[in-house]
Amino acid sequence: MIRDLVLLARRWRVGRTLAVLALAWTALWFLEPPLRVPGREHVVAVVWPLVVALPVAASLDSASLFAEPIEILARRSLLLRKVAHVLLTALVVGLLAVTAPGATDGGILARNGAFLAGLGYLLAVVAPRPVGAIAVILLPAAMWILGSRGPGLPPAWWAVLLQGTGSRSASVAAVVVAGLGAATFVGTAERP
Amino acid sequence: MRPPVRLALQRSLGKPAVPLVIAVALANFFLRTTDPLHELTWTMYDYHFATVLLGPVVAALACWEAIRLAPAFPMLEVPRDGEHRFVGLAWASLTAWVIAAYLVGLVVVVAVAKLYGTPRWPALVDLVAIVPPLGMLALVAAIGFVAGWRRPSWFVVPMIAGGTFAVVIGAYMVQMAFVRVGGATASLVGLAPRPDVAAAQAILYAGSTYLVIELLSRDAGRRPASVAAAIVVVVAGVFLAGVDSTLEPAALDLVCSGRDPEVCLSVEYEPWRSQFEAPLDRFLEGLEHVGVAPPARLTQARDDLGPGVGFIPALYRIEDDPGGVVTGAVSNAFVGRCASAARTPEELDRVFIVVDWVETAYHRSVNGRLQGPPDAVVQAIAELESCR
Repeated sequence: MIRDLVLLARRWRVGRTLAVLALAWTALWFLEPPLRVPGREHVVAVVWPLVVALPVAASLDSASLFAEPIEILARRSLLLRKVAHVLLTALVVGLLAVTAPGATDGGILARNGAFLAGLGYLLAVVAPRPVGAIAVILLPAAMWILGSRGPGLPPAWWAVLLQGTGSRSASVAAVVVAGLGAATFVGTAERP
Repeated sequence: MRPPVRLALQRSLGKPAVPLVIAVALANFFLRTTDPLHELTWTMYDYHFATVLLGPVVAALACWEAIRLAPAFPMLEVPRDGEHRFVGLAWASLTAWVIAAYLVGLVVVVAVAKLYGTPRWPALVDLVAIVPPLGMLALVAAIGFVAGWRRPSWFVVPMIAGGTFAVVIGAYMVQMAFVRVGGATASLVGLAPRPDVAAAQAILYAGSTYLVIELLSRDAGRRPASVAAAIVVVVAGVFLAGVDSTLEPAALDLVCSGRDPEVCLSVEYEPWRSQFEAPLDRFLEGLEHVGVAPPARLTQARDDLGPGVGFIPALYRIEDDPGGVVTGAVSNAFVGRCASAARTPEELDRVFIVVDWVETAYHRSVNGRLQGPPDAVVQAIAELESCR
């Protein structure tokens, strides 16, 4: 059992994912103190909720492995391994959310992580390999540029990742996308 | 066109990505604000802000392309020193498609601005300002390509996209001039991109792109002289492009008409003259009725100073907020234009008194219940006009 887990961790490059997680945590730590940037104060406040995209993209990199013959023919249950992969991504997002430094909000990080992970899992099933990972990174970038309206103004309604703590619609969107993505990923059986 | 070049262009990932690049660039322009369409320079300059979003997209595309090509390279029987040429050709093909798509988007935006009503055509300086964003796209394509070439792993693709985005935002946050290749949140009437900064940026991006491809190919170090020259170019570019402002004051093509006040608009805002003058005339009629003399001139020229001369701010907002534009211009005429821009606290208090009254008066004149200015306002105007 332990040996299996070590093998899985190696195959899924968990060490690399944890390194990216540490990088994201460091980025949050740098973005957290009140940086004085003339005319750009709001940028930092809008950027930190997006940092969770990095560890999510790193963890999802191995989601596409399940389409490879060696995975399909492996001894252990495909279903169990897929569930384990989803749990691993959830753990990574949870770790970042729980340890979020200072003024950054763990709840928002968890919500955004869930949204992006769900999207990534969905795309891992329906799109060619790098598309899911690229989308997980570029969607936050697009939401930041097109969805933030400027200092003191609420973001556009569709910029889910930029919404505040109290936004029920953003939470609902995150739960729906996460559930849909995880279910599609776990429920799809690749054929050799 | 030589066969290898034609072949490289044909099979480049840039070709199928053309619609994506156009879509991202146009979405970045039209989904933010359409205010820049009032002015041609502003339209073109703001379009270049697309590089912030296109940079990560292009870096990811180039990385993807390199990962696609890397396994094929050992089988191509390229000569020993041919790797950088192979990388260069593949990068150049991708970049050529990206640049072509970017320019198509720019033509679309300019065409929409023309349909919207601007009488101007792009000036030389507007065309020069196109070069730095193209250079920036070429550089991020080179970074993405070399990253994927050296480490052909799909994991690199999202990381290079995220890294590019972080670096561009970081550079914007610390106000580095060489990264600011476009994007303005307010009117550029009377301003133009600086050609010297654009040239420095172009040199910087060209040198950096060459260095990235040359130093990071696996056969690096074979051409020390050209690498040294490129390093000198990059360092010079950083210094030359490291200025405070990427814009400078430019000659303004004014069209003036009318008396008391004479209204002087940039030729680009002529199509919106009646939209400005209609609420203005109604308001000034109301003011005259209660004994307030009209300003001598309202103008878009920033350097036109003097008593009774009002600068018209943010004329591009005339459709959304005519009251704000008209009261802004009339207030500016009343609060005077003393030579010093830095006002004392007492002067600022008087400015606020006058501006508050002008805004209230405008809204009352719409309802037809306008009264003469209170003594405090008359006194504040007199004190401001005498520049005390």
